Amino acid sequence: MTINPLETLVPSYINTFNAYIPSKPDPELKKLFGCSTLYRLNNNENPLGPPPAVQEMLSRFSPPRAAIYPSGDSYYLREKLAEKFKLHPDQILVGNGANEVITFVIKAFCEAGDNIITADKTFAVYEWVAIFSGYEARLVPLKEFSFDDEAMLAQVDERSKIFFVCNPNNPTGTYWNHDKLCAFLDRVDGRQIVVIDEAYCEFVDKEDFPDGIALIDRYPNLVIFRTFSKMYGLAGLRIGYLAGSLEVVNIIRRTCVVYSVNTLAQEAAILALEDSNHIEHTRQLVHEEKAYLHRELTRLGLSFVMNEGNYLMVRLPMSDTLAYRKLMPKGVMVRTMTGFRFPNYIRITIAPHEAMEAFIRGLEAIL
Amino acid sequence: MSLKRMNKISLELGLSTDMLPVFLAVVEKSALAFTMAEREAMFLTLAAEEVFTYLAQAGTVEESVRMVLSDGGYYIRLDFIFSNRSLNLRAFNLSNSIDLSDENRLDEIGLLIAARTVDRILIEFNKQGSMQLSLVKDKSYPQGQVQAIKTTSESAPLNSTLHFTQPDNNDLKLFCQMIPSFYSSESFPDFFNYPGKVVDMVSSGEYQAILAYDEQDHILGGLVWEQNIRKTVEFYGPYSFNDRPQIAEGILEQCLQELGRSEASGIMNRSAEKGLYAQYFETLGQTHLVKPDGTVLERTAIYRQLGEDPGSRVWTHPDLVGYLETEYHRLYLPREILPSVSMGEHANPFSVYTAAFEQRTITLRVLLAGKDAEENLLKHLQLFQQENYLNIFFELDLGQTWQAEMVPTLLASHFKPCFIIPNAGTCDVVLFQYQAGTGELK
Repeated sequence: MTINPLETLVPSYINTFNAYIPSKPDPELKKLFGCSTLYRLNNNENPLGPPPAVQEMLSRFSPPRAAIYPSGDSYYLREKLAEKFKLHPDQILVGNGANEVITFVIKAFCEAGDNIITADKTFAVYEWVAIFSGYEARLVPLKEFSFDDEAMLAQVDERSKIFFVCNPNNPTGTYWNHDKLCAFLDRVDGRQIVVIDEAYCEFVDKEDFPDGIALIDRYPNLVIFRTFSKMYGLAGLRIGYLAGSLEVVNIIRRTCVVYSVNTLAQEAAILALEDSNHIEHTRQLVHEEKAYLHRELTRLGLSFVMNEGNYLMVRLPMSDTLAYRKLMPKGVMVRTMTGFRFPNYIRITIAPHEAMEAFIRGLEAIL
Repeated sequence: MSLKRMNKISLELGLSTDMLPVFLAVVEKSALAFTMAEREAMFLTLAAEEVFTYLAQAGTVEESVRMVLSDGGYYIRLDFIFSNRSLNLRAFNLSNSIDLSDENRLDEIGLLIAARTVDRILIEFNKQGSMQLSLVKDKSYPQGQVQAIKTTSESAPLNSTLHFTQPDNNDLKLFCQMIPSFYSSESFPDFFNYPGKVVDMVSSGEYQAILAYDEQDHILGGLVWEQNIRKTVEFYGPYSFNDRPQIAEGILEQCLQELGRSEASGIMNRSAEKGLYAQYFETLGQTHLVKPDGTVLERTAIYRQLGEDPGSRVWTHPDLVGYLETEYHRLYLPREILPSVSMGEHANPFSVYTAAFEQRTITLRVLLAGKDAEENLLKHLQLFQQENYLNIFFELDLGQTWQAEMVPTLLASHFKPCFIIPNAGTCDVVLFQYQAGTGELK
């Protein structure tokens, strides 16, 4: 008998990588923790849902169309985005959520021995995709909760291929302003690809916040990520995109899996782009509830990190994972932050007032 | 955070004693090449010979066995991977003895010798029909010298900047030798007495260390934890050589950040000071360590999860349900407790236990439950008491349904549950302590 253990087939960087286990569906969680309602404050979704026109379109989607393949490269959506941002449609690639376009970029530019550079306390997927693809992820500590440009540049060597900057950063909400971003791109001087992940850019109304897409002409090595999962309320349909110079996007396209974005997602995204009122309504809700949380968290004597985006972080005088288990039976689901390398912090998604009140009540009860 | 690549030598041989010289030559030469001392290499080779001979006698020449010899840095591990068939694991019980006049059991003598000459034995049953028997032999190291190192209390004034980083080998050895100057021997595990071993443990990737330094790079404290071994990792420390609370807190923060995106689901310390670090950890419960002079030292186990608890099912005997319900409620752990009782189905005739030794404590685990479980456990207890071991624990895995049948045996044998360790096995583990060995707690 010949015995061939599975581990001999698996690359070492996969053997040591741990699969991410997403949270269970709501009915399972309610049963597990014994709660009748559940406020999901863990995924930074838009509590207002998709814009009204999108909701209406979704309700009248003809079921037989489900049998037909979608546009393989999101043809009409790319045209719409190109028109909106004054780009050529071929400067845009649409993916099954922004997570997929992260994979496209890393596959396009990295080979064995290469590295990517990002922060230690930011969205985890840049780091994960690099590691489980066999590349090094160089993680630079945040400086005062913000990406540290100088320290990132100091990490560069001849095998550095891509910078990933989350702007504004998830979970700290800090951002590089226009001048800082341009100064960084000037220093990089085209030697690496610079990815700016603008997943939460629509929540920022500061004048000095940079519009990354408008900088593509000036910096051909710049790639911008955006998503329909946050402001546009389409997280359940999984759709995001990247934009860059024609030269760079033509390379990334080689690693792009076509037909990965479904018909509903493409059509919903086109309609979502047309509704500017939805952005205003959402910003208003975020603004009001942040003010409420600011007052209440101050009253409770808790320190917190509240900057841009539809989220904030709260530092607790207890383990964040214990707080999660104590809040769940009260119907409040938060994101624990030890996994983001912020032990004892929780991240809260801004939601309607009823949910914010439930969160504050729950927090008071467990402290 | 990845496990460093270890040197491995593997070979696949037919199950024939003709192959024995080849195999033994590989084991011995490899062990020496992996920097094991001659004495330990000889013991490992002897154990390897006994197991191979047993397998060859029990198998057929058409069968083969795959052997993998791995250099774990501070130990060498020899895996035998073979088709799953009757292997009398009873011989691996520490309490086992064989009457030389009993011809039916003479073939087990080799396995008995093997069990006695290595430090750990691991057995895994593979669902694809193979079985893996692993022999682990630790390397030997010289004991560290507790040097007259100047205390560092004056070297870290309140306004000085601290930094926390992974140490080089020299700093790590120095740190190990500083601990006994500040802490009693019960407060740290035995391996810190062997600084070279700690360096190899960290170099292997199975452990990691963080030290705290002041601006002049004086060592102010540190912490060591295991990784890549179990889902719930154990940590040792933080040991602080200075009164500033920021030292221990900074070390803990750094450790938690390092583990935040690792494969570990939780982190625990079995020997913490009560109430310390309450803002970071939950209290699991207490154990009681009997010292040689008969006094009893209470030890508190602390724990925290590193991610969001997904909930799970545990299996147990009805006799333990009440305890589990109370503890899971106290710990806010969502668990579905399911009963597992024997209903007359076939049972193994013999049980098998493994024993892990650490200073004056022994931790038993069950490899196979069997009809003789209580009698076998009693034999183990008698042996440990003869050897004057006073602190005896038992770890029961609630994710293994078959282990539930051990509960009545444990309770009848004066073991009492101390606490639950979440996700320490295939699911949660209950730690029992033998009560007759706890001094005034009798």
